[in-house]
Amino acid sequence: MMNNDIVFATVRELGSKIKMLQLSPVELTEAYLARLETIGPKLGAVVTVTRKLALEQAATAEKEIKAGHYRGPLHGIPYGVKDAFSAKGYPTTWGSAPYKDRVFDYDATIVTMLREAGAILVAKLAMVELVGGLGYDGADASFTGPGRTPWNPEFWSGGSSSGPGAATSAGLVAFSIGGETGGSILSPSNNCGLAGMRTTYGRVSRAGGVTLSWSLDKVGPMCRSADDCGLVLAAIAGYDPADPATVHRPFVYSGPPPATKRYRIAIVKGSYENAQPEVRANFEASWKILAQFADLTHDVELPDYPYAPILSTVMGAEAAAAFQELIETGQMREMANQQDRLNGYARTMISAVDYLQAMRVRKPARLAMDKFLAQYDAVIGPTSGSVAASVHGTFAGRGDSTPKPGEAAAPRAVALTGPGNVVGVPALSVPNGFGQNNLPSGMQFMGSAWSEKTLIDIAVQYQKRTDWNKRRPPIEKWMRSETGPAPRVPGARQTVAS
Amino acid sequence: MSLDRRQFLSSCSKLGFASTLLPGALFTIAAKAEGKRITAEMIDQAALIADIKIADDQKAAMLSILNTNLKGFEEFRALKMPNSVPPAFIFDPLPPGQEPTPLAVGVDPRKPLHIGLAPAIASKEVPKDLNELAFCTVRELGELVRRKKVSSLDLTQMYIARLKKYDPVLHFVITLTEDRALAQAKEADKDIAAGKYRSILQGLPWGGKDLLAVKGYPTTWGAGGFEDQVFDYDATVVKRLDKAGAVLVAKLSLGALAGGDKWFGGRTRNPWNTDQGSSGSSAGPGSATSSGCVAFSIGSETGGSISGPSTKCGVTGFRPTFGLVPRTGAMTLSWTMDKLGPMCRSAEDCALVTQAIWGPDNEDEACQKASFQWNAEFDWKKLRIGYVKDDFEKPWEPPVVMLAADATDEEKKVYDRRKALEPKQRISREYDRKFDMAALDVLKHKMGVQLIPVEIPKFPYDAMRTIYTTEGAAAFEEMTLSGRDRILYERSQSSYANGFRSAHFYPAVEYIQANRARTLAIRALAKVYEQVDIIVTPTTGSSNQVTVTNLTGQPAVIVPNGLRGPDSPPAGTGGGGGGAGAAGYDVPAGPPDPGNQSGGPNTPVSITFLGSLYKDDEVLAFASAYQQAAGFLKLHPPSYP
Repeated sequence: MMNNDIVFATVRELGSKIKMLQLSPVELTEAYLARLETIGPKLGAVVTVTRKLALEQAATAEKEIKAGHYRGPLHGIPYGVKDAFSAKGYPTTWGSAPYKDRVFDYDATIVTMLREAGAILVAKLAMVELVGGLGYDGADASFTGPGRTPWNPEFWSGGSSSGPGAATSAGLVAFSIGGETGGSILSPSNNCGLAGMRTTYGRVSRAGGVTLSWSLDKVGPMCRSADDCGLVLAAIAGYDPADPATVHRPFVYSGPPPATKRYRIAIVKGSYENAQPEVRANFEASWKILAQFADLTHDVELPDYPYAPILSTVMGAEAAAAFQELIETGQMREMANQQDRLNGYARTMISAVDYLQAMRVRKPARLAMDKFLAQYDAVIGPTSGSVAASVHGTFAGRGDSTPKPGEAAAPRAVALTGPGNVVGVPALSVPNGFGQNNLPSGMQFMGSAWSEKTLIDIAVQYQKRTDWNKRRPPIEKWMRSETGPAPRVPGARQTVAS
Repeated sequence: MSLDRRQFLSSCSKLGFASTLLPGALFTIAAKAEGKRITAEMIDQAALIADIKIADDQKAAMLSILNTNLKGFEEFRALKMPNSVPPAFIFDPLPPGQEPTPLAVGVDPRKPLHIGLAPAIASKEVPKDLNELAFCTVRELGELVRRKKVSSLDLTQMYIARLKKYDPVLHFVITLTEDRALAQAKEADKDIAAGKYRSILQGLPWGGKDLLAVKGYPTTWGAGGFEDQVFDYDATVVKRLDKAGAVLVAKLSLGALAGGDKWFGGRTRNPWNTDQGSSGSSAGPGSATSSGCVAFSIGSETGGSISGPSTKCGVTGFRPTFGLVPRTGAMTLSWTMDKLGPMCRSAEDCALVTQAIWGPDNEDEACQKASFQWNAEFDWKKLRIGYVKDDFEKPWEPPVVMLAADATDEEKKVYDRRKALEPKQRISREYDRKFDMAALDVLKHKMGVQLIPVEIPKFPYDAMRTIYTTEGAAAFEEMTLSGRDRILYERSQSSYANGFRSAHFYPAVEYIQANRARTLAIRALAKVYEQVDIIVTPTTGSSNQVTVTNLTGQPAVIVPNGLRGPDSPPAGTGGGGGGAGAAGYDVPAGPPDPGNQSGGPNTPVSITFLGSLYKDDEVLAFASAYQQAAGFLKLHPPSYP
């Protein structure tokens, strides 16, 4: 059995050991499979463990590497994918009961690309039902039960990429792939203390994944370091004829640049002032670190556009179209979360003209944001105004209300996340401290379209100077605890489905 | 996927939830209410309009979301977006994995590879009365101007005089741009004298559909209430034609907001039979080009607006691939369907004009980095030519219209009137089919083409037309909400004012589904194009190709294909006028308005060549070859000496 240092190692560390034949991909895969099967259900993090496939892929990788055919930094590395993406022969549930047994006979493009890079698929990870596009209001919005953060399982892992968040943080996979429409990568990255990246719209193919919104959906890596995000993104970025949004634009990443320049970073006004006091304090403390290698501009304001209504109108209308069949057949009744059972109907009531007007506002908003972001290498704010909310009950601070200080707030996108998603620019969240209930807080770097490399370089500099990303959640403690979370995982598959 | 509104409604009603008519109704009611908040009572009212039931607990759950949405929609309206702001998505007609071939490095995008042989007229003496040149092609006039046999100023004055002379009959001019034209003509003559040769269009007078912005002149969109609208910029095509040295002589008429041939100054007429309207919406370009009042013109098409008037007025119209010609500075009816294109007296003329206006302008994001290079010597024999077999060989079938079981008396009357017309339409179409068959003969026997039978894939295309009414409703929302649409000239059931008002009741879901159905249609038609490069089709056939290819984006050349003889059935309504015969047309009560009619003795018919996406130069070369073989090139109406 492997020790915990290895399962919590970064992709870069694992990769160099594997390349040097110091670490066996088969043994590493077995270690992760064991953790997925024991710890995974307690976190509500796993839908399907792809044990058979994983062991085959691991054996192949090991053979290839021993034969001197080394594919690159992901060769032999076990990973998990959000269950929004299909993997041939295994169920693809989209986190929802109506689809719990559905199997597609093709791989998502990213699954194919990662296989070609030599990575090993060990699990299809839990997610909020139907990608969270229906306006869920509690952690219960998944047929595999609430996603729990490994830092304290009484609190939510974030969503909709809840499984990738929890599993990567708990050392159940070396890295994972999530998806984001309105905050679904950043939210679990915040709640689980990960480096998670929303990529530029069109950077990574979505083919073979569920569509929540054709014009908003994006894919990205969720890792234990910003540097790992670069390694994974390099393997999945690029043009794919099957996704018309993708473009011919290479993304190359080998590591941080040897000599760093001084970066220009702007702090976004309104992003942190009303955050929980600990979140605000952590964010302000981060400035001192950033100032070591960047010039900070305070209190810059984002271009003023109605981002929230754009996001809800576009996402609402496109989701209602994407899931029209479930709405019309009444299968929405099978959703786990109360709001998810109803909201689809309200979303069919958005008029076509209003949808188009929302799409029209996006153009001037995009141009204004382009101009704004061009002035800086990154703009920053807390990833969320609060640390993780409780898994019990409904989220507080919904709708327009701002979470009060001390309140276990809603998983609501604050300040940067909504605007960034509307205009389709990248953002990278990294952990920057701990707040209430010893839960991690995050800080996000957002930049111009196609500036992922710069965002990663900046975050790597930050992580070189801090150790927040090296902290490990106290899993052993609560695994031993008699009052640990009840593993309510009705649909989770723990054995091989074939 | 259920796109039929009635079916959709009834299936929703069965579920006791959701509705096609509900959204707009709900927000319209709320917009008028005190405090602008949606209440449970309003859901009831809207549900009544939509004939559905919603349970009380469901209503309560919906209210918070609906009111949040409502607040957001008001924020959009507060931005007062002008017609020129497009949505943040870009329609791409190409199926997955296909990309346009960019122009080779070093090739001048404005220079044709080869143009046709110097026309005979170039070596003849120039007539004393320049009116005798009025019906010359661009190729001919360009040669005369280049050889200094006729000055641009003389040509310009001749055409302006003709525009003035025939406008009282044909109603095709909205604004003469005389000062601008005379200045441009003098500059062209000066440049030519100095040996500064710009293009074959240099010095040639043209007319632009009045949805193209021209600095310093009104741009009226043909619509009452917009007579004094002025933009302080030129449309990209205007700039490009200026650069080519062409001379803008007039802003020509269009049916109000690019629908039909009725505009605030009257109804544009068909030069072949002035009892009839010219068809639209590129009404002025069709009528003025046909009557020899401009050397060429620029029109636009969303659902048949080049095809219709080109057919009826007997000119060669070219609707380029969606995304070949930038639309910056042109009125938007539909971001995903609008195209600008030339209307001329030959396919080669269309190519020469396209050469001057195609290509990205870094403004219209739908415009692709494709290629266009006119080659009069293109070896069209290597092209694979398909033909829509059934549309040629089987008698025309009117669009199927079902009378609903619960139809109102008024609906029944309209239905009966339509049914009563069908026998006449069949006779007219059967007469016209002889011309279509003759075209096949020319292709097979004169040109030696091996024709490959093809079928247009079947999809609910008429239902997809909601795409452009919805986009138009968004583009003109302010007009509808302010009630300004009441002053539009055209008030029939099929007018855009009515269409836009109705479109406010469409749900976003259905708009998105219509576009997804369109994706399927694009892929299905791409399969057909794997077998052929060009498709020959009757302009008006049962396959409804005009609507289909406007949705899928292929280029179309509409070529005059003969004149109906004295034995022709009399003019009739519907079914005979290019794109005008689609399923949605209304049949007004009372005696038929001859203005709405088409066909009859001594009126032209057309044939259509559909090209492959972004292979516009190829389809023009083939249409040009057909035109030379078929011999209707010099066809023009007799009454405009």
